[in-house]
Amino acid sequence: MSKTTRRKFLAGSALVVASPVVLRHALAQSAPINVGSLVPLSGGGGPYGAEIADAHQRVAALVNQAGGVLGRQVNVITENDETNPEAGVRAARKLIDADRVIAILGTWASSVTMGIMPLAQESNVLQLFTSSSDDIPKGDKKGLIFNFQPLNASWATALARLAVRSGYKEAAFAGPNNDFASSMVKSFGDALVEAGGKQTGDSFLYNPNQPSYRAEAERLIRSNPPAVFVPGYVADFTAVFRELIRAGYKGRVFAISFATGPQFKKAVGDAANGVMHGFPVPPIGKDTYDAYLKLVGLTPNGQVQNPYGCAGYDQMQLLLLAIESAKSTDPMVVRGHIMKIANGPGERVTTFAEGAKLIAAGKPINYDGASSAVDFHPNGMLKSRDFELYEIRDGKDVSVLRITSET
Amino acid sequence: MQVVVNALASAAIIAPAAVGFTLTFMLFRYANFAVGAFVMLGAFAAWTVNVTAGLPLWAGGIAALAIGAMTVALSDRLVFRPLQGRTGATLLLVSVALSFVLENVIRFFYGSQIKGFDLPLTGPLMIGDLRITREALAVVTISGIAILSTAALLTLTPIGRALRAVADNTSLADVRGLPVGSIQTVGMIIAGALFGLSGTLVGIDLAIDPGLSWAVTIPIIAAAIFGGLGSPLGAALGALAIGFAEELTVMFLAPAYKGAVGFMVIVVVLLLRPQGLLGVAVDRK
Repeated sequence: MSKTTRRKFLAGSALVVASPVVLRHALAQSAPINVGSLVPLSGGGGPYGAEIADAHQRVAALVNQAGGVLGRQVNVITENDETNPEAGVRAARKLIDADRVIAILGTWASSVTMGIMPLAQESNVLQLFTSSSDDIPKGDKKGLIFNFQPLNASWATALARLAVRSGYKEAAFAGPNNDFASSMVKSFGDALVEAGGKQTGDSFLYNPNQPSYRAEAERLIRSNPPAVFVPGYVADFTAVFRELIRAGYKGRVFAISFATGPQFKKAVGDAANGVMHGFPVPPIGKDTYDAYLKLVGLTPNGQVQNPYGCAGYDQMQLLLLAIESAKSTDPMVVRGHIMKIANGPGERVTTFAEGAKLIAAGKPINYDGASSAVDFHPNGMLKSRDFELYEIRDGKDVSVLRITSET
Repeated sequence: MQVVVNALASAAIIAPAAVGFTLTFMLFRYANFAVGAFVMLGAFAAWTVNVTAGLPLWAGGIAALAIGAMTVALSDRLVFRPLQGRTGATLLLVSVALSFVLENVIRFFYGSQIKGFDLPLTGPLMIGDLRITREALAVVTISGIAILSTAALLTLTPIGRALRAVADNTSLADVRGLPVGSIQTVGMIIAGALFGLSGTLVGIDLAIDPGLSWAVTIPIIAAAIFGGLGSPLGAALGALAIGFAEELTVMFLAPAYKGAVGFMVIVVVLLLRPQGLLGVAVDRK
C-alpha cells in the first residue's frame, strides 16, 4: 500500500484545483464560435434583412461542412432588429450577454448600428454592417467596426452628381427624420453646388411613422422645383410619392433604390415610371458577385439582385478568414487581421476556403468581395463602391449612369 | 383654403376610428390602445379582397368592416370580458399587448413587405388654385356618411338608446332588464366596423404594412380625448382639430414636430378641459 506523502498530496491537490480551468479551456477550444446575425426582418429594412441573414448562414454552413474555423464549428444566431434601435439594442444585449457572440454582423439601419455600438464597444464585440450615417465612426473607440457600405456624404455626392449629369441642376429635399437622411441634407446641397447646381425650395425632415404625408408633399413642391430628392424607406417614400402625384407634381422624383423595389412599383403601378433612383450597387458581372448569387440559388442576369445579401456574404467570409489568420477568436486580436486581409497586400482570395489554404501555407492574402473590393480606411469605413442611377421605364429599372465613389 | 381641404382629408381617415375608440370607452371605461392594430387589420382585410381576390375596393371596404367587427367582438369575448372589473390601467396594458400580438399575427401571415390597393394614381381636380383629389373626395364622403350613420344609430334607434343606457349606468340597465352583455357586444361590433373602415381609408393614403398600427394610434386617441371621451360627435370634431393642427405644423413649423401634435393636444386638453370639447365633466368620489 502506497503511502501518501506531502509531495503527492500537494501534486494531487494542484491537479484537482487546476482541472476545471484546463477542462474549460479545452471545451472553449472545441465549442462552436458564436456569431450574431442582427438583421432587419421587419420595418424599413424588412425587404433586405432575410437576404443578409441567409448569406451569413450559407457561408457559415459551407465553412462548417469543410471542417469549420480553427477546427471549431461556426454557430450563427439570427435576431430581428425590426429596423428599430430599441429592438436592436434588446436583441444585441441578448446576443452579447446570453449567446456570448464575438461579433454582430448584418445591421442595416444607421440608427440600429449606432444604437448597439456602446454595448458592443463595452463588451469588445466586433461589428460588421452596412450602414451609412456620417456619424458612425465617432462611436468607435477600439477599432472594432467595419462598414461594408459607403457613408452618406458619398451617397449624397454620388446622387447629386448623377442628378446634375441627368440634367437636373436644382432639386428640393425631404427625407425621414433619421440618422440616414438627416446627415444627407447638407452633403446633398453641397454636392449639388459643387456639380454646378443648387438646392432649391424647402429642405426638411419628416417623421417616418405618421397617418398622412399630404402636408409634407405640399410643402416640398410649394416652390415648384424641377426635381425633388426623397431619400426615404419604402413605406414612407411610397406614401410621400403618392401624395406628390395626387398634388399634381410634374417634376422629376429622385429616390434611393431600396425604396423603389418591386413593392413600391406594385403599390403605385404605372405612376412609378419616370422615377430616378440610385444606390451603391454590387459589381455586376464580377466573378465574386456571381459566385455569391449562385450560392444563394440565383442566376446572374446582369441586373442588381440581393444588393445587401452580397455584403452579408462578405461580412461572414472576412470575419472567418480573420479568425483563421489570427488563430484566435478574441475580437481585439481579430480586428487587426480583418484590416490586414481586407486591404492586403497579399494574394487575391474570394472565399474562406481559398484564403484558409493560403493562410495555412503562411502566405499573405487580400480578400476581394462580392459587394465591393472590401478595402477599408483606418477607421473601418469602406473606401469605395460603385453607384448606379436608374430610371423606372415600363415598370423596369433601366440603368442610366454608373460611377465609382472614392470616399 | 388648401389647408382646409388637406385637413379635412386627413381628419376623415382617423375620424371613424376615433368614434369607435370613444364608443369602446363609453361602454367599458378603458382606453383600448389596440385601436391602431384593429385599423391595420382592416387595411389588410381590404387589401386581401382588393388585390389577392381581385375584387373592387368597395368590396374590400365591406370585408374590412366585417373583419374589424369580428376581431373586436372576439377580442372583447376572449381578452377583455374575462378581465372585467379590473382597473382601467390593467385593461390599457392588456390592449397594448393585444396590439403587439395582432401586429405579429399579421406579420406572420403577410410578411413585412408593404402593400397597396389596386387603385390607379391620378392627379388632382383643379377648382381655381384649389387641388382636390378624387381619393380625398371619396374618403371625406364615406367617412362623413359613416359618422352620421353612427350618430343616427346612437340617437334615433332603440339599440342606440340601449347602448347609451348601458354606457350611462350598467347596473341600472341590468336591473331594468336590458341584456347588457349582448348590447355591449353590439357596441363592440359597431366600433370594430368603424376601425375596419378607417383601415380601408388609411390604406388609400399610406403604404399598408404591419407597422402602420402605431402610426395611427396616437392621432386617433388624441382626437377622441380632444372631443371628449364618450362623445362620438366630439371624436369626429377632435379628428378635424388634429388634422388642422398637423397641417398647420407642417406648413408653418418644422414637419418633424408633426408627430408631437397629438401628444400636445392630449396634454393641453387634460390640463385645461379634462372632459374634452363635448364631454361631460364627471365628479369622482
